[in-house]
Amino acid sequence: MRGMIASAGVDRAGAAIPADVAAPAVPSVLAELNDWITLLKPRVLLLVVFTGLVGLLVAPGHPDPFLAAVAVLAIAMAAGASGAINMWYDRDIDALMRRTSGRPVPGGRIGAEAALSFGVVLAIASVLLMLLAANALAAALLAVSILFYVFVYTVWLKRRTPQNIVIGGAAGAFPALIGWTAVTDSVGALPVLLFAIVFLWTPPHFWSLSLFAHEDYRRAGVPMLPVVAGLRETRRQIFLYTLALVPVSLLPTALGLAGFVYGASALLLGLGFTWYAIEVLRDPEDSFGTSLSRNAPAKAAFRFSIYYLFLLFAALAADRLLG
Amino acid sequence: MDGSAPPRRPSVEEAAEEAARRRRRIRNWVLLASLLALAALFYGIAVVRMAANHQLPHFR
Repeated sequence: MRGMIASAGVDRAGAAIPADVAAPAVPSVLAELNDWITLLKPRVLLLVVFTGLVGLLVAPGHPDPFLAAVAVLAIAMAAGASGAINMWYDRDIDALMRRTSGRPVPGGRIGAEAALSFGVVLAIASVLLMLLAANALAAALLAVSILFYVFVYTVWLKRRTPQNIVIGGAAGAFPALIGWTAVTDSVGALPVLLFAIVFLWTPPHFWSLSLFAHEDYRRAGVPMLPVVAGLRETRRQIFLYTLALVPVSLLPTALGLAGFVYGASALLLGLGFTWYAIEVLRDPEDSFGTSLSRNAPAKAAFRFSIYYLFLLFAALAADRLLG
Repeated sequence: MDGSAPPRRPSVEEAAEEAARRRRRIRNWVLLASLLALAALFYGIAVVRMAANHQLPHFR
């Protein structure tokens, strides 16, 4: 609607300007489609789908390709549903933050109720699809992941505690476990380790972002770690969580659940992540802890953290396919 | 010059209403396509599962 109002004009006296004189009156359908896709948080969705797909690929067994594809689709729909419901609930604080103020709901391009309905319908459909294509356990875990993200992270923790993304990060750790469960109808040691890896990866990933977006969070009153504990403490916590992540990422090989390709990749990627975390720790700062480098190390660490998870899971899939 | 008035140009309100109607129409088509896709998925899942459970010769 915003495009429509902006394009068909009204002159200063309030008189209508003929539609063919004003800019194009019909808003772009593609722009609206793009808004609905944005509601699904596509970048987060991509990472979630990838970890879910790898969980499915490394699980023992040979699922029917069609059912496996439907299971991955269900994971994608669930992730999108969680994103849409999150954008509906957070529309007030999203409007206050520069990073999120352009989202479709605070931007007024999609109504709040429409976003909520979209999310709820997608969530129900995703769980139903998983139930039919895979099994009850995978469907139950999928439902738990959606409920966890919406109620535990979005509604309960996000606006209350700086530990929001530590505990809430569990929601993002579910997909690999769900992918595995969709094939095996059980929970094994490897998917639990994958869960732990994503769980420990989330704080350094998200806190790197919050280091250069903390003013946004402060403005919106979201108690992210840099806002509550300060920038220096956040840099220390990023380093500590990265140190905890590296040995856990090596456990699949150490326990004989994955091979050399994964182990070597995990070691190299872990060393890389640690180096970035040290750079964040050594970022020159003023007496308030504010970065003097415009948070260049935090931005680099944030970017690397995304590659890290993609490459780590890709290495696990390659390891299983080659082995 | 037949003396008839030239065709009236649509006002902004009319253009906006027409645009909104067009969007609604597109949304309805998208909704229909989504429902059909979901039905096709359910159908496909049912066929694959039945084939697996009953080992139909065709699907072996």
